[in-house]
Amino acid sequence: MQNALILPILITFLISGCASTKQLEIFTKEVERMPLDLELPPVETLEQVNLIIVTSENQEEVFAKMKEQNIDPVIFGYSDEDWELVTKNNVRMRNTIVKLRAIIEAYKEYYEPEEAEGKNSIIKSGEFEPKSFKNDED
Amino acid sequence: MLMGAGGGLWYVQHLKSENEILTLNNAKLEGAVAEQQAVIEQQLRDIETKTDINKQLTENNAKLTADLNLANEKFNKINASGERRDIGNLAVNKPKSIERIERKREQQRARCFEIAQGSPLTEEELNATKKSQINAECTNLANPNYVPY
Repeated sequence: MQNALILPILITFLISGCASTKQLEIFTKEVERMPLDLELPPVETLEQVNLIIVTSENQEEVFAKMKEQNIDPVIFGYSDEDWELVTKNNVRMRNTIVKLRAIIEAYKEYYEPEEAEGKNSIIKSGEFEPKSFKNDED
Repeated sequence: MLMGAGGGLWYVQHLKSENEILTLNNAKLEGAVAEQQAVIEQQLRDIETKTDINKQLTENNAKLTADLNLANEKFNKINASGERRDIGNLAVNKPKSIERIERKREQQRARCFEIAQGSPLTEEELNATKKSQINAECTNLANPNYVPY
């Protein structure tokens, strides 16, 4: 009777003594985010506007011509100095568009190289060089 | 004696299993080292790419600033008689011709905006090599093959 009790206890101890604790394995798998892959907006074509030069000499002629063409005889104008500034502001705005596009494309190239590959870039090295207009008479 | 033999056998089995675990651990560590090495290499490549992109953007920004300076230069150009170009004076004296020039320039400016937005260059723009063929408002963008003369 005593042996019948001791034997199972010994076997239990033996089995539990032999068992080793297994190490936990933690698997971490990186899941890539879906590329955003947004398309840049389509090119906006600007409306063609007609410039009119008005001087104290030609003002009557200009307004008469406008009346002839059924255009309201009113001019929204700039002085010559302000026209220079408007022209330079145009260059600034254009440059800003180019810079922003270049940044967007650089981000795309960096984070989505496969998607960006082969797409036309506005600025490519060697393609966009400053030129001097010192001799330009136009 | 039997107990001793059994204990010895158990000990050998235990050592074998420990050895197996250590071998597996070693393989895992080697794998981890290789993964870390790959991560370091990727980071180095990223740094290189980032540096290249920054360099390119800085260069292009400098060129765009040069473009603005050229626009400024056009209005302050000194003519053959040593006087500063005055578009106002020119417009007073020759309103028709300045109007014609500015209308043409306005069309060119509109085209420059299209190119800035990413519109592809036309064959005509790409092949422009003469002053009469270029877009004088943004030659840098519109006529990459034009060489000033």
